[in-house]
Amino acid sequence: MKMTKKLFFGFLIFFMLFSAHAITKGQSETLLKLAQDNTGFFGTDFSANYTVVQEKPGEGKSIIEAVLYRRDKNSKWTILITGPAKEKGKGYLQYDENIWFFDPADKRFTFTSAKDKFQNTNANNSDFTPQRYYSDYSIESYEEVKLGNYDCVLYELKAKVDNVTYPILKIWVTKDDGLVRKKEDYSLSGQKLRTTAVPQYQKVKAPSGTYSIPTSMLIQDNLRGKKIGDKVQYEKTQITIKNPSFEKVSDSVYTKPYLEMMSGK
Amino acid sequence: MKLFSMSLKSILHRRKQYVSLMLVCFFGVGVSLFCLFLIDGMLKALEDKARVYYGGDLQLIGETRSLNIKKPEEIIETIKPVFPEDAIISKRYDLDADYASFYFEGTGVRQRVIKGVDFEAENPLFSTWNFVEGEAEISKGTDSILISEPIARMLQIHAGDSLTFLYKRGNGVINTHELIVKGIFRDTSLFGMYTSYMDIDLLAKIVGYRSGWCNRIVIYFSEGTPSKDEVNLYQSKLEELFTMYKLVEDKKEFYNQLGEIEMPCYALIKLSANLQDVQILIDAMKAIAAFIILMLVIIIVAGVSSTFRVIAMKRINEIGIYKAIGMRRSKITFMLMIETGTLVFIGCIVGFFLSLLLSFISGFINLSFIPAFDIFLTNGMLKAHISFSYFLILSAVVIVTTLAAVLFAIRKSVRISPCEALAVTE
Repeated sequence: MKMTKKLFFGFLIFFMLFSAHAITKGQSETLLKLAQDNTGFFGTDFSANYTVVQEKPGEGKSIIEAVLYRRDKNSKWTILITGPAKEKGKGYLQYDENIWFFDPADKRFTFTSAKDKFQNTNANNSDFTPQRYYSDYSIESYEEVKLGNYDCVLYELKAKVDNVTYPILKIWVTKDDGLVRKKEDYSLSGQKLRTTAVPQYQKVKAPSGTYSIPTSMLIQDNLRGKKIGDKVQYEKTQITIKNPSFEKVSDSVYTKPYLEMMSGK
Repeated sequence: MKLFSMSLKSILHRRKQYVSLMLVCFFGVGVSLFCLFLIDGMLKALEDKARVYYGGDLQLIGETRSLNIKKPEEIIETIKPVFPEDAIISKRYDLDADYASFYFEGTGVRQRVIKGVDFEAENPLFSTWNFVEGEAEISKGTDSILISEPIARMLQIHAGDSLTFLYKRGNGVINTHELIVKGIFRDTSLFGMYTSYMDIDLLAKIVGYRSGWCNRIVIYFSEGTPSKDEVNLYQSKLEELFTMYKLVEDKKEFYNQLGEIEMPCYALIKLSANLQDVQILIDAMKAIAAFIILMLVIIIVAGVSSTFRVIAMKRINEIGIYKAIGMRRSKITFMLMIETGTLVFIGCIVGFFLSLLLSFISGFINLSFIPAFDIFLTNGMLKAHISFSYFLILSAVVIVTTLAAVLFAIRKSVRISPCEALAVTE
């Protein structure tokens, strides 16, 4: 009897200690929603300088400089490519649920998609917009894990709507601030297609609050690459974000004439 | 009989004069027949590749506006009595692979068409293929694929290797599937180069369309492409079983009417109706061949008639003697016609052998380096299709037109009076 009591209280204490740190389902959903909200700036405009460096094995690096403007409350954004010289003047524009690509060479707007690649890199057009982890996906599983020094919750998400590019996602979200540190994109059959790492965030103050913006993102393609020697090396794209600003920009920035005008400069 | 022997003696006596005549005929007919055999061979190669690509000689499409046939097995059982017993009837799903790619060790290649095939039913068709590696023995539902040699070279992949098939579904969702390369077939033509073949049920699973459905039923005749009358017969028999659209020369005519037709309605599409995209090319080839042959026939006719006119003028003395001894004009003309006819006929026969020789030589020339020309080649070579009927038709045309031209050319010489003829010194 004494032994049984000891065992019982031992298990009880062990369970209480363990459960004090275990995340509940409700908490996981709250954290996921926070992770989604952290990717959007619905109370303000956002702009920043983006440097996109793509590394193709055996082909070297290509660098694209761009300026991004976002007005998430209206689902509008504009990307204006500012370098290199041969790409300068090209641009992307989203409004009314449509995405347009502008090429100053033929002065034409062509219809594109959020699921298409950005300038033939490993980034998608949708990578520059708010992510909908909570709205478009359901939580298949979650667990607390360690990612380097970060205490994260690893979510396995499955798409609950049809219009997503990657039907399965795995994301590592830090428990204390709800920031996505790592993301893996999977196909419907469960094959890993891309891995995105966000090593660091920068805190930027705005009139509507303080926002966390990735300082850089590294995207590795798990399909496209080249066999060099005996090993397959995959393509990578690094996106660096500098000079983030939450100042309001003119409404004209989110229009076709703006891109046409800027392409001529 | 006497006239024949006189004509033959005349030919032998004047053989040196007639050599050039015969050579004109020989080369003209030889090259013309070679052109015909070659064009025919090229079109046959095109047709053979098209048969493989389209799964046979006829296709049955329709039932719904999206061209999905929901119960193909039932349709196949219903139409079996319409066609010969040895006809191979099977279901296929042709997928426009705008958003499909293959990846192997980092290298990606786009595809144009992925064909979902019932390999068990179509085994006799695939057994005619030229495989550089592997084979076409793919069991139902297995994760195997047949790819073309150029694609295999781009991916640096071999039979037995596993590639990743990436496909974006209609709603944009990405799906992937690992496939084993079961066979690599030789085809660098427009049809085969960016086309791959896999099990129809597996394709349904990857792409997301309803399992068991297809979008065409293909009919392959082992005896060869059916004639126009046979196709009309099949059409009328099918009209007793289903609501059928009329036979069309271009399948796009049926596609354009899909919004207007009351469903279910089916269309029987001939191989030629599928080839309208390359019809311009086919018409151009036929036009060029016809032009070359016409020019050569004109050269033969003009050459022979003008030469014979000169020969007739030179033989005016001889004609005068014939007339003086009582030979009638018609018999003299007939004798000269026999000479001409014999020469041209011999020229045609020898020209036929020249065409056979040229056809044999052309079969050793590899022209697969010419971009997009492979559609007309057989294993990379030009293969002429010899046809005795072409020889007979061409020879008849050459002989008749030449005789007519010669008749016209010699009429003045033959009309001359004996005194005038004998007065001429050769």
